[in-house]
Amino acid sequence: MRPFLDDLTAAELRVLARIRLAVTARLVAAAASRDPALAELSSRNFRLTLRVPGLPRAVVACLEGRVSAWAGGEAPALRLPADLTLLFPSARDCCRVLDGAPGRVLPIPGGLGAGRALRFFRAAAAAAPRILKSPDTPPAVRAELLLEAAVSALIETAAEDSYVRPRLEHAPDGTVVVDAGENVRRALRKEGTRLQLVPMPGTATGPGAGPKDGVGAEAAVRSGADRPGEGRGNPARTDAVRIDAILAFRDPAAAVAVLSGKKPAVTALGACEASIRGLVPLVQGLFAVLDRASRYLAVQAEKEARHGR
Amino acid sequence: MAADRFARSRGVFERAVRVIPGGIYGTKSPGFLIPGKFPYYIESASGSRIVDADGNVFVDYLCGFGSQIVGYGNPAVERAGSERSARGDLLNQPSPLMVDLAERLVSRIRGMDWTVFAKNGTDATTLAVSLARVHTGKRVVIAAEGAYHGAANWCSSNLFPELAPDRADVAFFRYNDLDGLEALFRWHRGNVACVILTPHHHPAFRPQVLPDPELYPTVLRLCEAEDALFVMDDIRDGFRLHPEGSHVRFGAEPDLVCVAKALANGWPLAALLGTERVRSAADSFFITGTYWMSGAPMAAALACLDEMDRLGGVARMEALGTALKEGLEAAGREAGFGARVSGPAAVPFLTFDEDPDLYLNQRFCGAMADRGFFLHPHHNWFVSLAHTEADIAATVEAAREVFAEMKAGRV
Repeated sequence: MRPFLDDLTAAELRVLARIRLAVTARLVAAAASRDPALAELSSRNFRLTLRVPGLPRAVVACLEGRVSAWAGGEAPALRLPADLTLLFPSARDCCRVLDGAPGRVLPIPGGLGAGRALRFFRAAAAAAPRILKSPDTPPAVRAELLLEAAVSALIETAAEDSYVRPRLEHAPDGTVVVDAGENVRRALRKEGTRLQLVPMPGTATGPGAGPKDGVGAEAAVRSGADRPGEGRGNPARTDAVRIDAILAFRDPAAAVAVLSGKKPAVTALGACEASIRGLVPLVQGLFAVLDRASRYLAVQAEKEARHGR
Repeated sequence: MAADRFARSRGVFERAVRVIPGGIYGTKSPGFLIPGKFPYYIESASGSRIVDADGNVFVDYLCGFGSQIVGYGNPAVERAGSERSARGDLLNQPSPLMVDLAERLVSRIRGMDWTVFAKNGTDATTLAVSLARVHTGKRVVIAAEGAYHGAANWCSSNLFPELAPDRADVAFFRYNDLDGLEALFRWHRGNVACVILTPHHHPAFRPQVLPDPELYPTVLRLCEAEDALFVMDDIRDGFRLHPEGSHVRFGAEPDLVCVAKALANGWPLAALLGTERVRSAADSFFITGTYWMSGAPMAAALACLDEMDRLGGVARMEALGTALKEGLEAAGREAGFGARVSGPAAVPFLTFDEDPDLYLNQRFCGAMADRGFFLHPHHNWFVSLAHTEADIAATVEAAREVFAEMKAGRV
């Protein structure tokens, strides 16, 4: 894949647009609880939709002070009207605008919360990268934001990119917990070529929500739930969601390195910065998608950007 | 502490990742084992023991992925190979040893009339498939899902779209699914060049499966009706299941047989053997590789064949493997685990009935590695003629301790 937007094929542009929509929506939602100014902007309800014709929309919704995001066609909130729709006329416009480059975006008001939604989005979209880059951001927070972004990118890449399909089909189905350390975890379910967020075993909350409330996958493993007579060998079998594999990072910094594409997963495994337990081929299937998603995430809107513009 | 135990291995690995993609690639990648529990680099080996880069010693049941059959550094094999090497290994033309070895193999591997040599198992399987296509004038290759036939694009797990044309004519059926196999033949009628199978099914990450008694008769019948060839990929099982070829053990009648790994006890050598029927295709095919006719591995192979017989051959490995299987399963049962050893006795693999995700495999094999036993958690094991009854007893005793610790939640 070429590293610049102008060089991508139409199919690649669609994948990248889906990734950008999902990652942006999830990051702005995640940033809301990390920035006091954003907390103030999310004190009243609103619903914001990010849309590209022909692609599943992404939604950011604030309800009673809690900001949540959905993307890739998931979520009950999609059936409700949006206070504001940010319509990108094309996948290319979406990719450019969400990468900070000039492009077309049409704000379409649809409800009383349109102004609030727009103010929040502008502030959050600026805050998310600032939080990620700030040296003052604790590694766990950075890992959580990056895990959010990486998981979104994985899901959208798997859904839209035909390139990864054969390798994903080859991998067994199941649920994998990605544990970035410091209680930052997500559970992903793989079925065929589809990936989706599922609640962490032990939680009753929805996709992507409340990882800190979940039963730690490693803790479940260590709890001895797989002792004979106390379960069926797999710790997850004692939970509603069976965990087929666990990709655990030594610490958030290790997770950040791999999830951002800076360090190959196989290298991190060898360096004992990451470990796989359980159904290894399932995680290997995810690595194939992660490799591909990392390439999409590295695409720059403009060639000049390489020179530090 | 595990981290200290493999300090040098990890240090070398850190250097490796700077100059070698992935540090260590393919089946030897640390991620295929359990990083932190197994060494990445091996420094030396002797008999049934390996010594890693940090000086840790293991009783080894991976045997160089099956290539070690008469023991690491077997004196007779090493002497033969080294002497040939001292007089010249890779020369302009083959040494007469090549004919000696071809005669030995043709007389030993039942039903085969000729042989050609290569280096890796992949060379042999890829050549077999090519010859089958040339011989039959057809394209489709039928294989079992999850079977490993090498690292070439037609059969590997490198499922990149750019490589899709290389495997476009490879069709898969579920192992032992005779109806599925028949359906594939019907679907591809008139286009099937060959069926390629391993003697028994040994997929990674899963229990092994022995062939249904009707599998090989069905393959023979379908291949005859289609005028397709049957290729036996005996690379992993070779010389461990039957001295005349693993197909004999299961009553199969292949047209082509691929061997490698144990053939020369780790010296690089593979061979493709065939029946008279396929000779003309082999005659007309351009078969070559710079190292394919080097003499030292052939000398080693001749010595290795002698050593296999001298040390007790298949019968002894079967007995050792059976003792290992029975000991491990009993130890597992005592602790309440459904530990099951699948596959032929000399090519065993342990899994847990209650854990298809292999968490228990990883705990068991990791704890065994702590105690100095190299049992791969995800790939079948191998018994060799260098293993002793004492090795097996020590392994079972260690396993008994590990199962007890697993039961107590200490591992």
